[in-house]
Amino acid sequence: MLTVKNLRTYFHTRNGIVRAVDKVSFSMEPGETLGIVGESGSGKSVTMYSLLGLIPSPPGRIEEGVALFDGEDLLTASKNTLRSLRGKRIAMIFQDPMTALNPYMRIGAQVMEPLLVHEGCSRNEARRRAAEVLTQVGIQDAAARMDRYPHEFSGGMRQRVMIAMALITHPDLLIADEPTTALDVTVQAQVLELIRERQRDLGMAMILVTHNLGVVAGACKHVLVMYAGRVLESGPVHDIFHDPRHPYTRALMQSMPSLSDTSDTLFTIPGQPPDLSASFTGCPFAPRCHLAKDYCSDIPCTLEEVWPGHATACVRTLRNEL
Amino acid sequence: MSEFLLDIENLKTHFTVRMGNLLARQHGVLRAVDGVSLHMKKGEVLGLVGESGCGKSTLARTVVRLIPPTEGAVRFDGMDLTTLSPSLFRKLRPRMQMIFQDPYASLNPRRTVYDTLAEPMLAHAIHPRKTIPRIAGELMEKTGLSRRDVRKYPHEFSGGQRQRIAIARAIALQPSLILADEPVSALDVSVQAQILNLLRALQKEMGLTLMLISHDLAVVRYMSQRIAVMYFGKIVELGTTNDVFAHPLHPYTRALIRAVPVPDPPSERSTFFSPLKGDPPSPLNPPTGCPFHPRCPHATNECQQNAPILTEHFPHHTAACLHVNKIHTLPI
Repeated sequence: MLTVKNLRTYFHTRNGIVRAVDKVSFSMEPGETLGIVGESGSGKSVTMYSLLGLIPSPPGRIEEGVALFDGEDLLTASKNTLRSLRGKRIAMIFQDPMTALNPYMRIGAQVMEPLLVHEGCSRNEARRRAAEVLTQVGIQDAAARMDRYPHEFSGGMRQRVMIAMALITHPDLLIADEPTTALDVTVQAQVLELIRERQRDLGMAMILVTHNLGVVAGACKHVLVMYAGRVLESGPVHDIFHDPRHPYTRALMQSMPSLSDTSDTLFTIPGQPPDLSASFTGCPFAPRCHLAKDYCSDIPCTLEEVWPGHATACVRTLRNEL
Repeated sequence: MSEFLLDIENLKTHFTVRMGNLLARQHGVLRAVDGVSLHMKKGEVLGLVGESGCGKSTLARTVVRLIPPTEGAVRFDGMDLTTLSPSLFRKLRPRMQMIFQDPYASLNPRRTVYDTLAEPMLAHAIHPRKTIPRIAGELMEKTGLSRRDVRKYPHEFSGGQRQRIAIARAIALQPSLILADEPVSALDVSVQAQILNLLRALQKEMGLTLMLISHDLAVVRYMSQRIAVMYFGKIVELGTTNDVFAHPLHPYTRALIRAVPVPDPPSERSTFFSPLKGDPPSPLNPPTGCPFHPRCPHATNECQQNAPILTEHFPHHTAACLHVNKIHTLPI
C-alpha cells in the first residue's frame, strides 16, 4: 500500500546541509502497524512530514526518493492531489494536542472540518457524525461538549479529539507522531488502547512514531530503528526485541530503566548523536559503538537482510563477526 | 536536632481560583497539596510519583518556599521554613536546591554557563571570589562537561548537556537537599540514562538527600530507596521501593504499575491494557469520600462516603485505602 524508497530530505541551512533523512526505505501493507523508533533528531518526524508534503521549503528539500501510496508518488504529487489525500485517506495525529488544535475554534467545528472539506457533507450531517466519532473515542456527552474550546479539555481528552478528527474520514493510513508522549502513563494506556481498537474496526494501516520502546512493543508488528537520519535496523517486532541485530538497537534497550531490573548502574551509550551537517561515509553510530572496528567508519553501510524480513545496517553483523 | 533532614508535617497549599462568568463570579479553592506529611532522612532518595496535576511539583515548590504554604510545617534540619524570617531563610537557602524539568527553560539563554554557575556562589558568598573560576571548572568536570565550555551559552549545548549544567548549578553551593522535578522527562532514552547515572553518582558521593519527582515509575524505581505515590494532593501510598513495587497496597499504585508499557512484545497481539478509566477528577469539584473512588475498580459504597486515612498496614509501608486487606493479596 505504501512503499518508500531511498527517501532523502536535506535542509539547506547557513551552517551547511543537514541530512535529516538519508536513504530511508520501507514498505507497508494495508492494515499493518509499523513502528518507527529513534531518539530526537533521528529523522523519524521529518520522514513523516516528507510523505505528507509538510516540509518547509526552503530550507528543506526532498533530494531523492519515491513514496508510492496506492500507485501515486506522494513526493512528486501536485499540491491539489496532496490536499485531497491529507486528512482524507492519510490522517495524522501530532504529539502535542494543545498546539495541534486551534485554540480559537470550538471542538466540534474542528472535528467536523475534514468532512466539510473532503466529503461535502451538510453541516447538520457533519455535526451528527462528529458527535458520533467523539462518542466512539470515549468523550461522554459529546453533543454538548462540541461547543467547548480546546482549553476546556484535559490533555488526554484533547488527544482523543485529535484521534476523532483523524478518524472521521475513515483514512487508509494513520500517521501517529508521538501520540502519547505528552500524556500520563494511565492516560497513555487508554489512548493506545483506543487507537488500536479503532484501527481494528476500520482496518486502517498505522505508522506509529515514538521514542518509547514499550509503546512499540505493545502496538506494532514491524519496527524501523532510526538513527542520524538512517534506518539502522528493521524487522518484525519480535525479532527486534528478542534478537536485535544492530548494536544501537541493543544499546537503546539496555539504557532504558525497567520496572523489573534493579541493577546498580544503567547502561549508557557514550557520547552524543552525530552532527548531521557533517558528512560521514560509514556507520553513523560507529563513534559511539563499543563493538566498532576502524573500518566501520569507512565502509558505507546499507540496510541488508540477515534473514527474510529482518535487516540491519551493521557491517560487522552482516560479515558474521558479531 | 531531629533525625530527619526534611520533615514535612500536614502541609497544605491551596490556591484561590475565580470561576464562572463575569456576572456570576465565584471563588473556588484548589487544594493542590492537601495535608502531606513526609519525612526524609539525611542521604535518602525518595521518589515522588503521580499523574500530572496531582500536586507533586507544587509540593516541591512549597518546600523551598517558591509557593507560600497555606498550612502545616516544613522543618529543614529542625528549623521550620514556613515561619522563618526572609533573612534567616536566605541563609538556609543554599542548602536546598532544585533541578527543573526543562533545561531549555531553566537556563538563562543570555548568560554564559560561567555566569550561571557563578551567580549562586557570588550571591551567597560561600567561596572567595578568586576561587570561583576554578570551582566553576571543577563543577563542569564533575558533571561530565568540558572545563573549556564554561564560556559557552546554553544554546550551544544539547538537551542532556544543559541538564548537566542545571545539575552543576544545583550542586555549586554544596546543598544537603536536592529537589529534582522531572529531571529526565524531557530527554531521550540514551541521554536519560547518562543523567540518571550522574545524579545517582553525585548523590552517593556528596551524601545528598534527594527528592526525585517523576511520572516515570521505572526512573523512580532505579533511583529511589522509598517511594511516595501522590494522588489528588494527598499521599496515598508510601513505602520502600521494593515493597511498593512487589506488593502495592493502593489500587492507584497498582494501576500506575500496570499502565507502564513493557518493552517486550506480547506473544499474542493483545490490546493495550488500560487499568484506569477516565481522567483524574476536577480539583475544583472534588469527589466525596476517597478521591480515587470514581476511577477505582475496587470501590464500594463505603468509599463514596468515607475518606481513607494514610495508615501503616505493614512495617514502614502505609497506604490510604479502605480495602487494603482485600486488595493486597490480589496479583498485580
